[in-house]
Amino acid sequence: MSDAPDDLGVGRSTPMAQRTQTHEELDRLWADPPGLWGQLTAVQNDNIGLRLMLTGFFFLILGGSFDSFIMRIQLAFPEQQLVSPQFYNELFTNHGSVTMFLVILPIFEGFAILVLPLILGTREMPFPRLGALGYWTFLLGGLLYYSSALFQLVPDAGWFAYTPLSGPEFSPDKAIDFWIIGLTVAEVGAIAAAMEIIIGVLKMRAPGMTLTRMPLFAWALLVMAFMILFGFTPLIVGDLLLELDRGFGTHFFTVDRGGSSLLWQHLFWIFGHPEVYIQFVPATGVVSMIVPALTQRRIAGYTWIVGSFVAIGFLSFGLWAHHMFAVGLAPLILSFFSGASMAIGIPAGVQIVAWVSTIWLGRPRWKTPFYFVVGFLVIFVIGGITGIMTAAVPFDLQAHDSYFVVAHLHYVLIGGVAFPIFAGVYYWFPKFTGRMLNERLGRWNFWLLFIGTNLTFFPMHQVGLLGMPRRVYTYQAGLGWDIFNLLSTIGVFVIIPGIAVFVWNVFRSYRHGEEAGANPWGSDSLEWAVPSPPAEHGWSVLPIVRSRHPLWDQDDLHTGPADLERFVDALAQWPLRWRAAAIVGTADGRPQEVFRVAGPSLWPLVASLGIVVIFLAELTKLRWGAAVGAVVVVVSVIRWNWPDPAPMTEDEEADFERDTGVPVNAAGSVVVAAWGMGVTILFVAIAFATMLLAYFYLRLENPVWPPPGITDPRLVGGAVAAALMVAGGVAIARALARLRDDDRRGFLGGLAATLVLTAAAAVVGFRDVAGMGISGNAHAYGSVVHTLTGFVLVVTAAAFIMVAATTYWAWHGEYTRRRYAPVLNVVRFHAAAVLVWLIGFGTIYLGPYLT
Amino acid sequence: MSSDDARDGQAGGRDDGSTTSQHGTPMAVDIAAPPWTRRALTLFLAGPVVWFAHFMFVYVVAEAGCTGGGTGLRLLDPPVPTVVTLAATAVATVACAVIAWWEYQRWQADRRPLSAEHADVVPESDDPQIGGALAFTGFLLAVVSGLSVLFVGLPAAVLPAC
Repeated sequence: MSDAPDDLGVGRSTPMAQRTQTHEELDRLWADPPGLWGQLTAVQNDNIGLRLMLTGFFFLILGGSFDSFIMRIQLAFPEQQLVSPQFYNELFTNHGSVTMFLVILPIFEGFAILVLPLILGTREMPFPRLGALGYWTFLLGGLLYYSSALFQLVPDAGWFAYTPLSGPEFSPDKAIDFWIIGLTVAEVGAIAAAMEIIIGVLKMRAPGMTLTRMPLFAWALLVMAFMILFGFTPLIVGDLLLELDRGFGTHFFTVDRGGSSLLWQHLFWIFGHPEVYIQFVPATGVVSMIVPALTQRRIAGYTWIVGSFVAIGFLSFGLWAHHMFAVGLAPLILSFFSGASMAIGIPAGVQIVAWVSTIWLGRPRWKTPFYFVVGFLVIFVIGGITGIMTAAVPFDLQAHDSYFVVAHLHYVLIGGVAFPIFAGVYYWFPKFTGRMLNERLGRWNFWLLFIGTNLTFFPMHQVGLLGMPRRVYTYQAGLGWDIFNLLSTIGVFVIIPGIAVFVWNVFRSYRHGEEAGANPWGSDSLEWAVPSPPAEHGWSVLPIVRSRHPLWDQDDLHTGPADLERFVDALAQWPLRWRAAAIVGTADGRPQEVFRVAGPSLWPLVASLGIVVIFLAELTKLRWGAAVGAVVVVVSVIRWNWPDPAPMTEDEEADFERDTGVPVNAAGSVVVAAWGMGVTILFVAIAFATMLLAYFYLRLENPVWPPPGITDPRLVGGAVAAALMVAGGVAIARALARLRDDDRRGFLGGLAATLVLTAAAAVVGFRDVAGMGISGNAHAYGSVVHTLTGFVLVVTAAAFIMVAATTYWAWHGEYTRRRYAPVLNVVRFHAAAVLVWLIGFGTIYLGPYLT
Repeated sequence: MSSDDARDGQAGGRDDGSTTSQHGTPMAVDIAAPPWTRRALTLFLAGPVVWFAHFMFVYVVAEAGCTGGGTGLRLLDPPVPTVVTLAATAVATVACAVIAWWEYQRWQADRRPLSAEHADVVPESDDPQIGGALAFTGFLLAVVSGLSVLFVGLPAAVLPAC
């Protein structure tokens, strides 16, 4: 193979991926089907990743640009009447909601799904169908949200939809329902993609790529994905509670019925603040890839940057109440959140020092991605410093709800996130199109955006300190605000051509751009070793990674320890009839398993339509439709997991394992499935913890619990139901043990016993709570008891359905004592369901006694 | 299936190089996840986990002590939140220091005698069994977590609780 063309005069040639005779065959094998049907069933990471990014940019143009343009025109001069106050409310609500939920997140998840397999030296993401589900639910959720405009029911309560403004009393029409339902569907998609990214980064890497040889972008995406899981799940629960208040008459947020409007603020900001870092961390990952490539210098402080990502990931979950400094929290609580908000400046500062040091020590090449990185450094540092200012409680009490905060958050999100996104597009565009983006247009793009951003948002600091509140549709003349507002509006007129230049550059360069070689920037990471654009399967021969900078330190990407060489060579030649990918050890990067990656399927699309139907049923108040949607979701998830006959015999699997030492599981992965189940259980646990937090928060807000007129629950029924549930858990564990002993009859008997016991537990539990005679519509106590019961029963129903499907497949002889990984997963979920049952009903029954 | 059973029966425990054909699929993979991987990852995350546990604990106690008016929560009325915060801060700081020291030792055990100017050129061994870069990052994380614990907890020494 020839080395990478070095058309930028970097003076360094980098090794290329080996091409084999099986290349075309593998390429065909991994391609999605052609045509419209192919698009509907597509699961390939290139396709899904690119679609996510394009959809994110589409929503950016729609919501980010259009709304802000109208708002700035309205505010250019005092006392204008171009738009009504109501329309202005809709504009800022839409602008915030769309950019925070529908733009940056899909763009980074798209980046992740698109580039991760190449960067990590693997062929696919672990759950391509889950990735497809993530895309479809995101798209449909976004469109559902936007469809509110068709009905003139545009949400108008701000992007954080504070109660009681967003509650049934002050927002009686369906506008807020569109907000809740559309965005919740999109959030489900975000979580699906996050699960995919977590397992992809931890388990699907090139042999030899230990955790500390992993590119920084992968680290950043890993942290981002965990944060999505921990941040979005509480928001989904919060959305659920708000919709229950609006649609079902519960009182979670009704103060005079035992609810708490502050509970919504807590639930929202537990998501809302990490959300900023969910966007920022992957952006710093992009910067950490571009800085070494364009300075031709290994990044200074790799381990420090990894530590910063992880530290930011954790610390960002202790900042949420700094959005609530003005609501009257206790001094001690203020100090906790203020202290944590300042502490997060430490890892952020470490990153800045590492990038600046790398630039200082290297030889910067002033190409467009580098311009955007420098722009990022300048703007983000300003935004970070104003962040530390607002972390100080006395200052925040002055600046709260003023334009100073608007300035701060736009400096962080445009400087800290949008600039790295542009840098990333300029950097990776050649890899996926084979063509460079135009440099001259790139400079125009950068300077227009850099000048425009500063011109728009810097004056907002000043006008905020002069007292201008955010979210006012106009202002009086003579307050000293006029000139600053005019400057901000002029700034927007500089930003818009900047974005237009970018769009034109992408369109033009896609067809007419200068041809890029495999490694036009002379970069160090693996994706630059494959041709531009890459083949569908990415790697014919998997790389063997021996360094943190494989393209700079290794002469050849496929040499290394003999056993690894044997493994990657074998996997390049076999199998050619199914999509095989390698799983590696989490920390050491040693191959653990070869498994079959799922192929194209229509079921992810059908499942997302089912999810949308569930939520649409609530929006249209045709609630029976939710049952239809639920059936569609369950059927499609079962269909998409339907056991596919293994395309080979167990002997063939054993032969490969004898030759290479790596087990093959063509019937479905053991490791990836176990991780998938683990992350699913984590998702359920986070949602459940949020429900418990709501329970105890409401308990604290109410001196008398339960409220007068309601007796404490009697414990007998609850104890019987719990005993049945535990017995079901024991039965399924026994069933698994019987299967391991090759006792098929015992295995089937254990599964049947599990089904009976679990169903009995659900019936007894439900009847007992229903028999307590507590209304869900009278007081927050009843609301939380019924909702918590519903939550536990839904988890139990999911466990029941899994056991039922397993029983059906077991009846048809699907599992053997060798191939039983799916059963193991069902047992794991069942154990989690038992635990959720015990803690959930334990809280309901014992809560009034214990507190 | 039956062919599988037959082969297992014939093999009779003979090592033919395929662990899965003898012990079943999940077994082979469980063996491949050595305990030191778990130790390396646990220690790596231990500092931030201590930070988060400390943060949530002191927050919940303060929230319960300052918001609650119910009978059961009188237990947490002031000055309990202050005392609990300071005590928890001391414990968490010590925990972070111990984790930092432990990770530092693991990292030191893996250091190669390299001159500083070439330190970044030679690929490091990255062996989590000994420590490697993961241990150094864990050390950094424990230090920043300890500092953050102090940031969060120390104001309790001077501020009123509620």
